[in-house]
This record gives sequence, structure tokens and C-alpha cells, in this order.
Amino acid sequence: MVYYVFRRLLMLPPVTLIVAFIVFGLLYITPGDPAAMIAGDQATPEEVERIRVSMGLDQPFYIRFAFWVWQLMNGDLGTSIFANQPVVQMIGQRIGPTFSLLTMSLAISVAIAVPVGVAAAWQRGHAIDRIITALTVLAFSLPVFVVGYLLAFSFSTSLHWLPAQGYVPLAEGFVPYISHLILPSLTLGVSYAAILARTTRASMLDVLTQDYVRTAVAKGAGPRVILYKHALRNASVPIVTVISIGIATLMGGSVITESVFSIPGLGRLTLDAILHRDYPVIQGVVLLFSASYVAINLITDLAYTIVDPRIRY
Amino acid sequence: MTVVLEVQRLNVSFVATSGSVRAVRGVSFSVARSETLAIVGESGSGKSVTALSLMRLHDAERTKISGSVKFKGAELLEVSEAEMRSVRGNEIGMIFQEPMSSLNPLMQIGNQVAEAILLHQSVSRSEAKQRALRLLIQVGIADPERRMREYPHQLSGGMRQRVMIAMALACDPEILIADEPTTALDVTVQAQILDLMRELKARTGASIVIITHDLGVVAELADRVVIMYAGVKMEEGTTAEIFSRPAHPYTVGLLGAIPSLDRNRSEGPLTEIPGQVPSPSHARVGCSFAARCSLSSSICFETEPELEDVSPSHTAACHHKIRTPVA
Amino acid sequence: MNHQAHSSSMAAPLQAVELPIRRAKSEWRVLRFLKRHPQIVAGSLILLVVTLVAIFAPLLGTVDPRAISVTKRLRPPSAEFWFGTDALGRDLYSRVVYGARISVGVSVSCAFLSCVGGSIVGMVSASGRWADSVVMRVMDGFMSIPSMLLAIALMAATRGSVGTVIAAITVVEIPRVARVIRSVMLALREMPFVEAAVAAGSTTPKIFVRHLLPAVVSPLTVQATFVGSAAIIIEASLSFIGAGTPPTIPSWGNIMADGKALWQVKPHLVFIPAVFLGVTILGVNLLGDGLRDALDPRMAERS
Repeated sequence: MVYYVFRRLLMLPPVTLIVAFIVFGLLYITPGDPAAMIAGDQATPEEVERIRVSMGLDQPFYIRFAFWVWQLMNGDLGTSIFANQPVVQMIGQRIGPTFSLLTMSLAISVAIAVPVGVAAAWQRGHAIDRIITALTVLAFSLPVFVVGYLLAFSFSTSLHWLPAQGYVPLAEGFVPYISHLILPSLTLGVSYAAILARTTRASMLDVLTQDYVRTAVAKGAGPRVILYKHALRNASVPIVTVISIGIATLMGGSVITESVFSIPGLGRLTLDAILHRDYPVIQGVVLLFSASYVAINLITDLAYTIVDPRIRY
Repeated sequence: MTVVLEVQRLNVSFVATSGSVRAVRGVSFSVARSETLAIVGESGSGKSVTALSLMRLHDAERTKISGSVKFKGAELLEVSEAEMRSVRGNEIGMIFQEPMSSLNPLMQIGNQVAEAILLHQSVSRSEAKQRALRLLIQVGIADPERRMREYPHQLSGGMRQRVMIAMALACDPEILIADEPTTALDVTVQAQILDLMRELKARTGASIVIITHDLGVVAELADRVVIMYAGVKMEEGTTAEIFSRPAHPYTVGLLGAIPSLDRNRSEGPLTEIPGQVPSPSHARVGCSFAARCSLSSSICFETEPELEDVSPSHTAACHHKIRTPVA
Repeated sequence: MNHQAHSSSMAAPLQAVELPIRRAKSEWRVLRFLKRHPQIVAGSLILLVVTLVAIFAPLLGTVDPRAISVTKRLRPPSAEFWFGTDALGRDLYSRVVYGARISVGVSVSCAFLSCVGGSIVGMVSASGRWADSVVMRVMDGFMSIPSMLLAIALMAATRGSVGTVIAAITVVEIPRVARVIRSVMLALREMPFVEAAVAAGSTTPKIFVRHLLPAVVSPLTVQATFVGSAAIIIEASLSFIGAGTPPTIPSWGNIMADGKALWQVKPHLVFIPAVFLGVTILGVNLLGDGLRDALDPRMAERS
């Protein structure tokens, strides 16, 4: 078991390295001078030169990459071209709202999607199942920002129940914190929850045909015991997989959601960076998200061994 | 002899998109207290379907069951689902063919056996676990404390089946239904399981309904036998009668197909019954076995034979019943 | 004739009755297939309509979608401007209709390119153990980057144009297709009929085309619909945040971005393109779902 954990940890650096390489190498895919690209069409030669030096683009590729990796390992994500601040600092200032948004979306989505999927599986073919299936296809077909405007329009503009903009840190009060996060979290989570509900349903259906479910029935167990005590536990491996993989969707969608709801988080930072062609910031944010994603997947892999005692690799 | 289970004219059909399929056609039998009844037939005979119907284990959406299944006076086919649940695992227990897939792979053995108790009796968890431990000992599992905390994949096939038996007997049921309990096991283990079943029956006085295609198992365990073919009951009698004076040509064919160490080569090859079991989805006229029967005549293809007495305890459905003189 | 019927009822189950006309039978089969899979019908219909709108945009009562008119800004829907006008006085109806071209064009291009690219990568990966570990590591690397973020980074590193958007989305989606193709290939490699073909002296390319390719068609089709759906969403999202289709070319995401500032007072600027987006994506998803159900026998039985 320890051996397995160790082996999985060992896989971490190569994947992260490849990720870093990809993120780093994106600048070089287009022919031409990366500095000029970043500086934009309107830049003067001095500005282009400034950018080239500040990003160290005057040095050969492999030296740049090695240096960059070295910087990374020291926790330095470079300096923003536009704001002239260390990227790490800029990220640190904005990470709170994004983290809150992501966590809350995850929690709400799982809490809604799993019971819904279980219900749909149990009532397969009936009205509830058909409705749920139809709703999930619909939910899955709406881009995040479309959902965002729908929800904001309904609950904020029309009904005035919830605010549609801004973020209140937890320190300034629990209720405002939550009330500002509800609509964005729902927005972000809708598409994710739809996939999760479907996966739950499919996995449960698979499990419900198994012999041990029949044994449980023969023992006199009722629906709740069968569904939650026997079936769900056995269905959870695919469900946990999708929960984990879907976090990437949440991360990507958070950028959009923060735009719709004017939340001052990493998404906003990224959007500003796009406007100003501030590539180091974009690199830093993408790298942070990717590394977190890899770490989360690793934890999930390890979690499987707890869920299913047969998985011991 | 008190009758604990009375099945009359049981019909089971499965509804599919292309029509319905009649798997069991008008089967009747009864089980007395402390009696072991064997239901025998080849694949497709409807014997497993019959067994699952007794406790309404079929998918209610796709199955139509009619007839009567009377257990201790109550009509099981008509009681509510809640009442049925109080019977399952409590007054009637069941074990299945594949012990590996019939046990929850992610639950410890102790918890699974304890669950059988907790579902029906209001005792504490620790008390249930204690009883589970005693049950494991009763079914002959060595080192039971350790096994309680293990998972099904850590046990051998024979041990898993013992666990299934322990679960089924946990609440002291009146009837144990065993659907091909030894088919998936090694021959040596088979013998052990049969011994165990015999011993438990003697101790608890429960009745056993055992579904099997293996006549050796029947000879070992059963008091009476029901022979099924293509969803229809062909013959019923005591084990002695069936083995020594079979009345139905199908039964004769089955018995002739048993390999035995005592046979010598001059007796010729094992009897094969030519042809195949008719598909349950097609309509039938006459006797279901007629097409494969060496004794069939025109009446066999026109009229379905009724069950008629060959002796007070022995019936067969055949127009050309074989009458062997009693020695 | 009589004798025939008699003996057939004796010896075997009833024979299926042969229909006299073969053509009618196959037509019935297609109709029955469609009836059992309403999603395919619904999805295809929606996509057909949207594609026709995209192709025939100039003929649908539109004006130049880029024509700015300072005097006619922010008008509500009327006889002259069926959907009203946006903040620059442009006819919203024309912009939305022309916007269909981007969504359809990007979706189809990305689906096609990522299927081709993904197949190549997948087959290369499945061809040898060394190639497999290298390629899969790289694919893992790509898949570790959330797709939206990778698309953003790609767009930031290049000059924005429709072509770049297509390229970015294709890069993002290739790993998933590659993975599917790879697993199909690996499974097929073990199958006896491949061994038989090799033993019969068939050359590698022939084995490829005649035996392996057909097995790839159905999972590839399903993946193509997933990619198509994702492509529309990613393009619209990128355009919405200003990192996608250049603002000079109307795309539904663009239009929503333009309307973002005023959406509370003029919600139609945002909601009309949103509806088009939603319906189109729904069409692709229904088609994809329907195809998946139809092509996977296990799933079909389940639903």
C-alpha cells in the first residue's frame, strides 16, 4: 500500500513537468518573435525589447526552460509585464474568492447530483427518470455564461432575491458571503452536476443488476438499504472518477463565471491578463490550476483504495 | 404431514418488447414440514424462474405471475411488498448459485451476516454480530473471528457458500430455497456443502426446496422430486419412485444420461435425448416433449397430457406412461 | 404444402414468415430505428435547421452584420430590425444569423480535425510499447490542463482569428479522441481475427484499412459529436471573454460579450444569442446521445 502511494507520487513530477513544458512552450508555437506577439501590433521597438529582456526571451529555449523550472521550484512564477508585480503575489491576492466559488460549486453539485442520479436509476423508465434525463441533457447543453445570465436574470433582476454581482469575504459576515456565492456556484455547478447525475444513474443501473443486490432483496432489505448501503458503495468508483475529472470543468468555468458575476478572483485576473497580453500571469494561473488538478486526481486515485478494498495494485 | 408451502398453477411470463415469454406454465407442487423437495430439469426448464417466483424476486415491471403460492396460509402473490419483505430472509431463506457474485464485494462478511439478523430482529449491533459469529461456526467455517472481518474475495468458493447458508438461516426460516447451490463448486466441496445442508436441516427442522440439474444431488438430499421440462411439470414422486420406477420418458432419458463408474461398456453409450428444448416464446400444441420423445404418437402432438396418478405419491404427465412392475 | 407445415411444427419452432417484398422490409427497418431513437431525429433536425441558416444567411432577410449606425443604437425589436439593434447600431438579427456560420463552421472543423488528429495519435500510441508510454504521457500532460484554460493560453499566445480558435480547440480535444482510438486499437490487436489476417499474409496497411478502421468508425462518430458540442461551447466562451473570434466577425459569444455591459436594461441583447447557442448545443448533444445509445447495445437495452 505504501509502495503504491510512493509509486504514484513518483509519477507526479514527470506529468507536472510535461504540463509546465506545454504551458511554457505555447509561446513558441507561432512563428515569429514571441516578444513582439506579446507586445502587440501597436508596440514600439523599445517596448518589444523591454518585454524580451524582462521575460528573458533573448536566451536559447532550453536555458529559458531550465531557468523557468528552477524558478518554479522556488515558488516564483515570474513577474507580470503589465503590473510589474510578482505573479505569485497577484495570485495570492485573488485566490480566496475563486477557492470559495470552486468549493461551494463542488459541494452543491455533488449534494444534488448523486441523490438525483440514484433516484433516476431506481425509477428507471418512469416519469421521474425521463424528466431527470431530459433535464440533464438540457443542463449539459448550456454554456456556463448562458446559465449565469438565466439565473441572474431570474433570481436577481426579476425577483431580487439574491445579489448578482460581487463577492463578500467570509470575514465580513457569513450570510452576505453565502448569498453572493449562491448564484455563481449554481451557475458553475449546473453543467457539472448534470454529468455527475448521469454517471451516477448509469453506474447505479450497472450495479443494480448485480447478484448481490438480489441477495439483499432476498434477505428482506428495503429500497433505502439496497440503494444506499449496497448499491451506491459499489457504484462509487466511476462516480468518484467523474467527480475528480470534472473538477477541470469547474476550474475552466470559474473564469467565465467570475466574468458574469464580477467576482474579483483568479478568473478576473486571467481576463485582465488576456486584455493586456500579460503572458506571465496567464502562464502562472494555468500552471497553478493544472498542478492542483494533478494533485486532486492523485488524491482521488489513492481514495479508491479506501473505497474498494480489492484495489491494491 | 403439515404443508408449509403450496404452489398451484403457477404461471410466470416475461414481458419483452417483442412480446411475452411464458417460462413457467401451470406448475403445482407442495412442500411439507422438514421435507426436502428437489426441482429438477435441464437449462431452460423454468426451474430457477419458479424458485425466484416463490419470493417474488423477479423484476415486477417485466414479469407477470399468476396462480397461487400459499405459505402458512398467506397468499404470497398478493401480499403487499412490505409484508413480503418481512417474509424474505426471515421465514423463507434463499441461497444462490454463484456465491462470489452473490455476496457484496465491498462489505465485510460479518456485517453481511449480521445484516440478515438486523433486518428482521430488533437486537443491538453487537448482539447481531455475536449471533453472526455463532452462525459462522455452525456452518463450519474455521477461524470465524478472522473471517468476520474479511471480504468475500478473500474466501474460497466453498466458504462463501457456507456464508450464504449462514445468512439464509440467520432468522431460523421455515423453508430454505437453494438455487443450484453446488453447481459452481468443486466436486469435493459440493459433498461438504450437501452434508452441511443435511445436518442443518436435521437440526432446525426446516424444509428445503433445492433446484438442480444434478441427479446425484437429488439422490443425496431429496425426499421428493419434481421433474420440469420446458416450463411444465412432467413428473413428481418420491426419490425412490423416480429413480427406480420413472414413469415419464423424459425422466428415463435423464436417468440414462447419468454416467456411472459401475456401467460397463457393453451397456452401450450414454443415452442422449435428441433435439432441443422448445423456445418459451412460441406457442405450443400438445406435449412439450413430444418432438424429442421416442414414445410419441399422434395424440402427443395434439393434446397436452394431464398429470395422472401412477401411485398415491407419484404423478406423471404423459400419454404413454412407462409402468414398471414393482419388484 | 400441407406436409411442410405439419413437419415444421413437429420438428422446430415456428418459422418467421417471409415478407414478399424485400424493399418494404428495409424501409420499415429504418423507420422503426428512427422511432426508437427520437433523440437522433430531434438532434439532426435542429442541426439541419441551424446549418441551413448558416449556409443561406445572406438570403434570410439580413443586412450587413457589421454595418454600424450611430443613430440607430439600442433599438428594441421592430419591423425594421427584427431583433433590435446593439450598442453600435448593428442589426442584431443579421448578426445572430451570421453568427450561426461561426458556430457551425468551428464545430464541424474541430470535430473533423480532432478526429483525424486523434486517430493518428491514437494509432501511433497503440503501435508500440515505447511509443505508447511517450505519447500517453504527453496526452496525460495535456489532459491535466483544464481545457478552457488551455484554450485561453493558446489564444493568448497567438494572433486571434477564427483559424486560431479552431486550432486551439482541436489541440484541446485531440487527447480525448486519441485515448478512445488507442483503447479500441489495443483491444483489437488482441483479437483473433487480426492474428488470422496476419497469418494469412495480409500486409499491415491492409489489416489497418480492412479490419481495424471499421471498428473505429462508431466510437469515432460518437466522439465527433462530443467534440462538436465542446467546440461550440469553447468558442462561445472564448469569444465571450474576448479571447476568441475577433470582434469584427459576429459570433454568438461575441454578441453576448457586446451586450454584457447593458444586459440588465436590454436583456434581449444577451438572451437572443443565448437561446440560439443553447438550442444548437442541445441539438448536437441529442444527436450524440442518440448515436451512443444506438451504437452501444448494452446502453440501448438499458434505456
